[in-house]
Amino acid sequence: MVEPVEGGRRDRVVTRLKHALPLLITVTVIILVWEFFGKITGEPEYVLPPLHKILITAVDRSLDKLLPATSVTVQEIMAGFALGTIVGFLLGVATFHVETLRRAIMPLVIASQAVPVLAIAPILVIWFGFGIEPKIIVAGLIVFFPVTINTMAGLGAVERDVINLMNSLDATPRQVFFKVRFPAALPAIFTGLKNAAVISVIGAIVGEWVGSDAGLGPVMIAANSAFKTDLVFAAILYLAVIGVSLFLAVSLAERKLIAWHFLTRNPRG
Amino acid sequence: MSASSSNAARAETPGAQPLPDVRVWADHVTKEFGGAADGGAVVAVVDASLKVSRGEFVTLVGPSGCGKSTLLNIIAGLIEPTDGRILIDGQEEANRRRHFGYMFQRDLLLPWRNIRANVALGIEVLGVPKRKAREMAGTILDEFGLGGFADKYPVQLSGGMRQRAAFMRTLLCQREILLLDEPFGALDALTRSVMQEWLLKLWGRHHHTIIFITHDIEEAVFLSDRILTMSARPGRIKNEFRVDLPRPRDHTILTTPAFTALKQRVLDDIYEESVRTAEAG
Ligand SMILES: Nc1ncnc2c1ncn2[C@@H]1O[C@H](COP(=O)(O)OP(=O)(O)OP(=O)(O)O)[C@@H](O)[C@H]1O
Ligand SMILES: [Mg+2]
Repeated sequence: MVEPVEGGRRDRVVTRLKHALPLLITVTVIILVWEFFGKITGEPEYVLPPLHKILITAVDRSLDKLLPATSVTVQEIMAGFALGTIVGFLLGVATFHVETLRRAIMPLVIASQAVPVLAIAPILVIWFGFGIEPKIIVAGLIVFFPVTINTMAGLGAVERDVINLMNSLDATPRQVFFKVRFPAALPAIFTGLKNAAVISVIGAIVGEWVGSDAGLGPVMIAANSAFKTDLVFAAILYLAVIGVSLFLAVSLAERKLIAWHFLTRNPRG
Repeated sequence: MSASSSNAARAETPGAQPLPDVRVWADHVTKEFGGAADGGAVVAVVDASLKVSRGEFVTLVGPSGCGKSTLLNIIAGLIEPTDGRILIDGQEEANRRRHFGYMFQRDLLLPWRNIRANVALGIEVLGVPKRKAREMAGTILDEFGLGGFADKYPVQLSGGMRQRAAFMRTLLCQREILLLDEPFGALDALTRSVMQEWLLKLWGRHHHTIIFITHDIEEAVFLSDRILTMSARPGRIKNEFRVDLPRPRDHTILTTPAFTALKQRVLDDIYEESVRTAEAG
């Protein structure tokens, strides 16, 4: 409180830099090794193209290839993420409240996660064709699980005493859910959503891999068989940006919607 | 509600009518938890009876784990007794929760609600529209000097403030009967004594009917009209002490001979029970 504001701010910047330093060093080393890998080992360029080539390709091929493909893949990811989140949340709420349902469904849900999506994807293509649907379903299929599990855990994490408090107020089950269980579960649900955001990208790409002619998946397959490794890496770069953006969007929503969760104890309190 | 037939018969017996001013009557209440399946039952309360008159301040004291909270939960209608019954104004009611303002040992403020919204929770649940409820919460916060903290979140407040906010949540529901389960147990000695005087002032204005639980015998003597001591588990009501100290009371009473004498008598009564609990545990 007493320290001058300016000094405080500068201190904070310095601490941040200190914390970021190890990451900066790792990234720099990776960039350097990558960039000069061909020169050092004498391997042909298509094994690991130098970074600057990949970046050039990422820009050069953006308009004719990468951006149109990205638009398709992003649609699949967003739809899969939305589908998986809604289904996952509802399933979590339902299985939390109905024990019979929990017994009847949870083992199957867990088993569904043990089966590799790569094995399910071709079947979905047979059922739903080469359009956007099987990709959305594959993405949704791997997204819903962390959402369901975290929703259930969050709803169950409410203390017995708080439920007693609500009962002493003669609250209805509806009120207990909306005033206590649901808000109490939000931090856990957001943990599930952040997890889901990252893996939704994997889901969409797996869906594209087994049968598609649009999206970043087919771009990568075609480029790979033509030994255009720089284009493959450029597509991967786009995917990484999509994944990180989605993760950051969810994190931002988390900060906004459950700001209370990030409050720390007042030093005076 | 599971009033056994013997209870129904008892209610019709002449002479068993409650006094006109008895608001809460716990009639031979027994509570067992669990059964053979859980590896034997825990008998928490045995044959406990108590009557509390309108506007009376009654305190239950007893060793840890003797069944005080259980008895309060039964009175409040949160759990049903294994045997016995609870009457409010002489009536057995299927849902008696609406008669009580229940304050728990911990403040139980919801971390996602600011203080104003936390204080409004009770009346919101009772059906007051959200905006109106928050308005009322703001008013009571101002009244009790916490207005400046209305927009703060529970983690940002001290223990004493949180406890007061929890109290306001209870008060705002305007229940005439207050059930207070060690409301000051978690506070430091100084804050606690401030809160005790605060409670007495409040009670002096509104004349609630209060059932109060504490471990702290000094607190019991300071606050109460009547003290009921409980035995070690299984909890029975053991003895009754009238507190005939003048009101209004403040902390200067704590060192008067009449006060310390009574405190000593209650302490003696409870001491052997606490030793028994300590040895058993
Ligand atoms: N839901 C329950 N199931 C099983 N046993 C219980 C349950 N609730 C309480 N008990 C047991 O009943 C006994 C009395 O508990 P209770 O909480 O009423 O005691 P207490 O007098 O309030 O104790 P303290 O002073 O520590 O708050 C304890 O042995 C406790 O373990
Ligand atoms: Mg207790």
